[in-house]
Amino acid sequence: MSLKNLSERLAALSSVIEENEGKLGGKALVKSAKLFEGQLAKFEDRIGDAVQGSNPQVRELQALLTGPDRKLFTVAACRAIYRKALGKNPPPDSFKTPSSAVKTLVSELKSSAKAKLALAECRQIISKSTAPKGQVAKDEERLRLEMNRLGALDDEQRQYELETRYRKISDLKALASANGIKLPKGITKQKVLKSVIARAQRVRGHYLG
Amino acid sequence: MAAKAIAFINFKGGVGKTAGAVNVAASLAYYQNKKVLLVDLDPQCNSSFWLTDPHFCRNHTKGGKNSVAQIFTDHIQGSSIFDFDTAVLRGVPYVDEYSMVPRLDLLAADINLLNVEDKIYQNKYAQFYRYLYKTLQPIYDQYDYIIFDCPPNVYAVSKNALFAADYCVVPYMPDFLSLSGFQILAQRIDDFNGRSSGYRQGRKPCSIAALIVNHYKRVGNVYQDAIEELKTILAQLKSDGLVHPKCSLLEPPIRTCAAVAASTGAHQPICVYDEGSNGGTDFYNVSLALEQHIWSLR
Repeated sequence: MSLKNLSERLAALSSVIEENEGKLGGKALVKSAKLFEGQLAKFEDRIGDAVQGSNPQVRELQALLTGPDRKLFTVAACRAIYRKALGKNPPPDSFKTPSSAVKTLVSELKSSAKAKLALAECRQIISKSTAPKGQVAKDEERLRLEMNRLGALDDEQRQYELETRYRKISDLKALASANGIKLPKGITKQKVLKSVIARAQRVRGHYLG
Repeated sequence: MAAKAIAFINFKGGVGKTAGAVNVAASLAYYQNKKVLLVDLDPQCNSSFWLTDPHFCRNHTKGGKNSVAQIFTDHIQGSSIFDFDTAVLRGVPYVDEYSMVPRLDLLAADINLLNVEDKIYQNKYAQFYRYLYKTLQPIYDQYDYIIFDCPPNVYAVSKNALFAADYCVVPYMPDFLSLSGFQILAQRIDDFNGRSSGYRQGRKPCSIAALIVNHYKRVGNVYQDAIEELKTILAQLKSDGLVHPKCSLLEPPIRTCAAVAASTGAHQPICVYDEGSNGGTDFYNVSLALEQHIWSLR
């Protein structure tokens, strides 16, 4: 099937949905629509990349490097990202100032599949800078506050903090039990993590506005 | 010593505000010998009809004249019809004119409270939230506790209760929906306290000092998990200064109890209707916990 055929099918489908929107529903249809929506989002990204000549990772990377956290991306940080993503040292001439380093980084990654690696490194730098320093709290009141804080984080930041600050299962268990999560004996770290994340998200869900 | 005034408030309906206010007030009077005034501020008159027969109550309030609604009407219209000694029902409930709880008094509500919400803003320069306190302040010395049963909102009448009270107690049900918005309620109360603090004449702002869990069931983990979630949220609200620094969840949770439901039809508090029931035991223990907690805050 050519892209032209696909475009015609999508247009036809679109008009059928539009005409019958009020009649369409049901569990099976919703399930199928959700699956299609996911695939469609990916396809839209691919089309967008093809039209703009960049991939979504690079666009996201650019947004991160020039966004509110841009001060974190010093020359040294950009060098580290470059090395991690491209596996070689960056050209010294273009890595003199943070802005030139960012520019070079983005331009070189545009043609590279390593953009994903660079993006992960960037996120790690942001997560590291925003995660609280020092030991995990011990008393109940602070551990309850910590649960609220974890609930307010986005998924990636929460994941980072749980992996780096809660390496020991004993710390995770202390966090869980201070927040009244009952844990059976011999529970795995993965299961404690799952319970903690679920509770943190639920608690945060109660905050309106 | 002036009464400790406590507002039972939550903008969610059906969480047990009235059950909490009526039964805690009755328990304080019945078991702990405290002189208690229960002020019904809900136009649905649920506290009033719990403790008195509705026909008797309507006859007594005389179209609102002997009810709490008249306090507001007087302030709005500039009249002075309300007379506390005539309006108050002493020693409710009654059986054949005999008092069942001699130290429990009731200031009944009336459907006219609905009109109050519409009319109270007529004079936009009036500090409408001071009306209730202005009228009741002279009788604060006659009681150990004054308990306000608020309507399920944070509008004008509830704000009057907040201004007249020293502390808030928030009854809630341990499920996901009841917890949602608890921080908004705390923020609303905190905002109101900020705006009205200049007029409290040395009285501390009325912060949320305690929570009571209602409709609790020991089935699975659902209810216990919801209580733990509330405790976690409470820790955050304390840290943000939105509730009293010593705010706590009063133990035990009040279990779901058919006798409490039945007591409404008998127009008696649970301590009189069936003091040995789960509800009777729980409300006795909660009132004890509340009394100790309030003392610890002084």
